[in-house]
Amino acid sequence: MLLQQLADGVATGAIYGALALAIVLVYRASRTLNFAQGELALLGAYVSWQLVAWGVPIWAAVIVSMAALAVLSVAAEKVLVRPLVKRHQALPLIIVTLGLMIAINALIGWAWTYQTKEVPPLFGSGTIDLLGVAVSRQDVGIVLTVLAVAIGLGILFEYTPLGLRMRAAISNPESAELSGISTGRTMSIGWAIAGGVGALAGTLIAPELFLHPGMMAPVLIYAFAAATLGGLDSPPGALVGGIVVGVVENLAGTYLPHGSDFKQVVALVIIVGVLLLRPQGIFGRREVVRV
Amino acid sequence: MSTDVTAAPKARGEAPRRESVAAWLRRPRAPLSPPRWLAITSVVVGAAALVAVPLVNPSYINLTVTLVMIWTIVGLGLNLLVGFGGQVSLGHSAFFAIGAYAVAVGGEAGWGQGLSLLAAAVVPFVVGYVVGLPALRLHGLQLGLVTLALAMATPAAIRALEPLTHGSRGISIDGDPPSWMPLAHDQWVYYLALALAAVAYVITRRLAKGRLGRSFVAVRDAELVAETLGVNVWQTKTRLFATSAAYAGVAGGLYAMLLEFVGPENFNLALSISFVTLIVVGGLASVPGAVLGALFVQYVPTLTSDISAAATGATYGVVLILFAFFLPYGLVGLVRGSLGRLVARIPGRRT
Amino acid sequence: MSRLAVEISEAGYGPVTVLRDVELEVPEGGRLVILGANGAGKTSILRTISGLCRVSGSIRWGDAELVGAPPYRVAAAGIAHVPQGRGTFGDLTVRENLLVGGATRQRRTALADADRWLERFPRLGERASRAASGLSGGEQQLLAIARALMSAPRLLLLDEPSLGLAPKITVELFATLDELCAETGTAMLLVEQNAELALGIAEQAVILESGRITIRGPAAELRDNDDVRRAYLGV
Ligand SMILES: Nc1ncnc2c1ncn2[C@@H]1O[C@H](COP(=O)(O)OP(=O)(O)O)[C@@H](O)[C@H]1O
Ligand SMILES: [Mg+2]
Repeated sequence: MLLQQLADGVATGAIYGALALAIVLVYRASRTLNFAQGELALLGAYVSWQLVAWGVPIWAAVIVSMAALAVLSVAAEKVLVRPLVKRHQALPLIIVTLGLMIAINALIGWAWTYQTKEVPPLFGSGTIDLLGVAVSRQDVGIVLTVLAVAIGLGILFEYTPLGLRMRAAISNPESAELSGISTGRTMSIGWAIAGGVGALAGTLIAPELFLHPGMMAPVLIYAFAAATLGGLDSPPGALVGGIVVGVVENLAGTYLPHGSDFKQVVALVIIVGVLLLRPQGIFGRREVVRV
Repeated sequence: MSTDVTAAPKARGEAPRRESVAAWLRRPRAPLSPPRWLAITSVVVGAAALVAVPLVNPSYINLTVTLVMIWTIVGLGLNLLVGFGGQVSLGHSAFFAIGAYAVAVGGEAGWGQGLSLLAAAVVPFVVGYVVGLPALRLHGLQLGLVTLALAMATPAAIRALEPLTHGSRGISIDGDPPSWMPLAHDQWVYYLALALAAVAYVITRRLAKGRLGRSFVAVRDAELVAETLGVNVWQTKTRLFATSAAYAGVAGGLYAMLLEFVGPENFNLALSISFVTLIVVGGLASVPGAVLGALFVQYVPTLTSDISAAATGATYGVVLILFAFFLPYGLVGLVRGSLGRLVARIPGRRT
Repeated sequence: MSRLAVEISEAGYGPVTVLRDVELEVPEGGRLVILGANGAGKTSILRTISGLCRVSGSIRWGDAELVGAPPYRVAAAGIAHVPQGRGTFGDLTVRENLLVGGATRQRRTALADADRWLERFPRLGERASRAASGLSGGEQQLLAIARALMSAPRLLLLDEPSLGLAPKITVELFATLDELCAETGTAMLLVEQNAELALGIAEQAVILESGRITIRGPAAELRDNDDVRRAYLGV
């Protein structure tokens, strides 16, 4: 029973981690939180669903959806976010990404109705026996996919010239520009990757939560909790944070009285607790705190 | 070796140009300055009209106008926090809910409406104070994040506090006037809301213009400078947050009396978002803006919901984005910009 | 062929105008030093050239016009800028700092060049894979200069390299700088408080007061000018 809960927690946690990764990538690129990150991921899930409904194989659908959301994220960044980031205005940034969140959600409801849709699991149905625990193939697939994405991004950042440019642009934007790096472009790349990863996360979680316009809002809060816990500027932190939040959420849901209600409060408690006690999170850098 | 550079646009120096429409919209505006006779006449006529409304209208109209006044109260308080204080809150639905449940639980305990409404102000104030204590350590985005999580957790928290709130079943409330009063339920709550909204409006104006308001703005614009000038930043922020929560609580209490029922699902994220939309549309840091914003969030959804279920969300989302970019001072800014000159030309003595 | 000709009629930050009617030239391989009190606008001149300020006027670089070009294009056109305060990438390693400097060049050339610099400056070489924030001030300045030279620039903009360094280290640094620029024929536009040293390695000099150039001439002449001696050389 406990092992089963842990396994479930790790799988949903991997999804929170993936969305938290998107949040962190955006934060690193623009020093802002994108409240629309969850709805962008939801849009990715719907695009995947639509393609599957048109007869595209699910694998191809995910890839197309990731590409589409990458492009859309870059557009959102250029048009809506960059002008405000340049003016260092926190309040308009919050208002605008909040507006984007509502607008995308409404767009989804208008285009695909508010009825629940079924997305086929990317990794098929059925279970696998792991150390005596029956784990669904989809869960195993989710964890492995998120892990692969994380390792891929780790390699990109640490070992490629593009990754070095991105890190330089984050570390000292002005010096990076003076060294011939277009920080506008590295910013766009950060948002593009975030959009793609988000679309992947949305498509992966859709079979478990059932696809409907309200699906992503709770996931977004858990992802914010995960990103805060891991440290807003740390990609590995996002993943670890995601797993921790996923497991805690699952255990709280099972073992606490009123568990399914307290689950939602868990995210709030984690966010407030971390921001007050250790604002830079587990893996974050200290100076990040000055938002 | 470097001819590629020439492709870039020419001189960055700005030649003086005529002001563009966008720049005109973005300009801050002074409040309208009507002559005294006009100000007094409008207040008197407006007040008379508001008093007369529930006597001549069917109850569903009274209901919507009462809601406008309830949203106005929330907007006044939230604008105090966001507009004047520069602190964001996406979680005022939580304080609104606390106020509503204070009235509901108070009603169950047999407190009477006056005491219940008082509790609807005091309990959110205290909770706001306690929440505000740590909030002073958080800045912009962080506070936005925390309050968003608060709004998301509110319905679940209400359900979890079942012994007090009866969970998903909700609580019925008796919102009827005292038996000696010759008023129907909708008229009674209307007048209560009108009275409280008027009081809230006057208080907010005084707060915004007085010493306290100036210290709020000082904290918003330059925290360190304010500190050296002797403003207690910590106290100011916390009081501000608590005061703003009390406004939302009173509004929530009236809301409970109006609907005569509260349940967890009334207080979701969408409610918080409509509060934020309200102050953005009305005009940040402007007192009359709350009224315009309240009209917007009450009547625009009734118009849009005829189009499609998604139209309200789409409208709010697009409006938030457009206002943030093009109308930072909201509808009030627009009104002041277009009527300012006209009103200033009306003859008469001004104060 | 690459020669910098600056004719700024106005430059500044947002509504604030800092520079007025500033004209200067740096010939191919030449060396110009800008002297001036704190707040005179020296840094602003370099930032304007690099595309970080609002400007009207013209900045010719060879055949190209730099006004309107974003900073990364100015850098790619062969102008390297060591900003005031060094602009180190603190959380990147020393080697990575160098590689960022070579961001506009072929990866393979950049890797080879980085190794060359690490060999040339053993103090950097020993710390190649440590975070740059751990270096001393002098080492960071050296790293910043090496990083700038990684792009094989035709012009090096240097903003107060001596700031915060001990006198002995400053002397060493200027000797190194002199040597490096001579080797590669890189032109230099230097902003300095330490007039003595700066006039020693420069060919031409200008003095900036409140955003305008008040004195200009060969460095050697300025060194003998009584007004300059009194104001900037402390004699
Ligand atoms: N980012 C900025 N915004 C507004 N004014 C600035 C900015 N940076 C510098 N200044 C002003 O420009 C003037 C020149 O500054 P600077 O170029 O840094 O001088 P210097 O390098 O000679 O000490 C100063 O008066 C300074 O206050
Ligand atoms: Mg300077």
